[in-house]
Amino acid sequence: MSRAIFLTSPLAQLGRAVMTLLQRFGKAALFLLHGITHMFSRPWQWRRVLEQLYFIGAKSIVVICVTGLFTGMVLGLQGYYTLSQFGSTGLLGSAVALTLIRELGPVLTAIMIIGRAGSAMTAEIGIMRISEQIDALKTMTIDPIRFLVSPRIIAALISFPLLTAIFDTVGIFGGYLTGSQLLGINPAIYFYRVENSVLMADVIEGFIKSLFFSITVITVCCYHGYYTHTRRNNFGAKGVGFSTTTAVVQASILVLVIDYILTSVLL
Amino acid sequence: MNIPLIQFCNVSKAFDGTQVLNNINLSVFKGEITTIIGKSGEGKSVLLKHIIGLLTPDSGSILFNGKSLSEHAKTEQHNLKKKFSYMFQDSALFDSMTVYDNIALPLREASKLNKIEIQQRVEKRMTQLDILGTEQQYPGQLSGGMRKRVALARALVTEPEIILFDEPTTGLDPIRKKAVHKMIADYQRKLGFTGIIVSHEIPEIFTISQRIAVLNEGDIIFQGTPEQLNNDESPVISEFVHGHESS
Repeated sequence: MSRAIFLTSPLAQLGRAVMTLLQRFGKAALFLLHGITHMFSRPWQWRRVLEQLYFIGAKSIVVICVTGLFTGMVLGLQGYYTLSQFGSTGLLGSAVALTLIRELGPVLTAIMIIGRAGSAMTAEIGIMRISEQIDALKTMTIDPIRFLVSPRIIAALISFPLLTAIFDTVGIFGGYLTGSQLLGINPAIYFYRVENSVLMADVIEGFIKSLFFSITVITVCCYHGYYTHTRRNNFGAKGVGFSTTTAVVQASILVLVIDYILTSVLL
Repeated sequence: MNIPLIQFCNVSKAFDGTQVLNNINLSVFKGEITTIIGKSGEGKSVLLKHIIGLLTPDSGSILFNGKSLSEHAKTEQHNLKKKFSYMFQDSALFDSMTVYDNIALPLREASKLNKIEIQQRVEKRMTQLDILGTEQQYPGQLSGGMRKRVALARALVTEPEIILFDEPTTGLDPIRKKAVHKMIADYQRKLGFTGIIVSHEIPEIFTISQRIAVLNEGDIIFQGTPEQLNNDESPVISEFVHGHESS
């Protein structure tokens, strides 16, 4: 009998872990669904959507520009030395633009927003939770998910593709700086290759990715803040800190996993 | 027989194996102020949170007008909840909003009043609670007593039918404490709301309460008028009430 328990114990533990994981996924999916449903409920929350657009979108522009510029510059350098081995430096524009628009633009934009805005969202909602502000909303018959999450979803759905577009544009310019200004590729050839190789399908693929990433980032970051009080053995400020770290790590990993899945589907 | 507005029927609640409420039976009647007294950590706030639905009982039921919340239709439940207001022990003010926005929020989100009407209501409450001039300040910039008064203004601004006060005067100076008690009593007479107060202000709170309930070791050991409480000769009640009086 004890031998049977010994043998089944790891299996039982695995089963419990899988069940817990599935339950969390289900809970997060319901959380997202609740938030999406209230995006369309009246009265419209224009002011809060604008506040979040400013916070997630406008305040991220500088970070996105700097990241995009240096990513493009690095791609220009690396691409030039790789292509020069095959005597194809003229294709640098294509390499930089396609890499940015299809892959790096959406992914790096999402990761930068997780670091800048996502972590702040988790911390803000988490502090609201532990200081009973979310309970206070409930007592006023204000739906906390509608109030806190729905405006963030709308703002993210608008901001992520726009910031990705800015990242791509600045990145292509960064590639031009190193490729043409530093290493001497004819600017006309560089931009001709950019224009010639990028198809509308590539741009749409990048935007589809950024829309998926926006939903993922907002769900993970808001969810961890909202349920920060349910963390075992980590209460108060420490709990909020752990929730923020977990949200950033999980959202970043999920962005990379979803990127792989979407790339394999959309290619 | 008068049906209680709110009735606890054998309500029990435990947290991580610690029994906080143990088969509680309590009746709150319409238009009365019921004060719940008891030692710190006895579960008075837990009891209040059950009424407003922030916590659900492990067993037993809470009846509103003789029916449990789940027996009411969905819209009825929503309308019932709109009749409540709650003043939190630690104020629970929105720290990233100004004082004005904190008080105006329940009106903006859950009423059909226009901007001017909301402003008039907010300013009226702020004047009554002597916090006018702090409109553009944030809760973090206020003293503990001021934050209490902002929380009280927020609880009263919707003119609710049932107000739950969780230690509304803790941290206030004696003059303001008296003023808040008087204001609660005046409003109660004027608007006829039902109040449930958790308080340690013994015996001052008896002057504004029609009913007192004593919570001890997870159980309601007394329910009655302040006079009945004073005349109760059971050692636990007597020690509790007089112990407070002598301190």
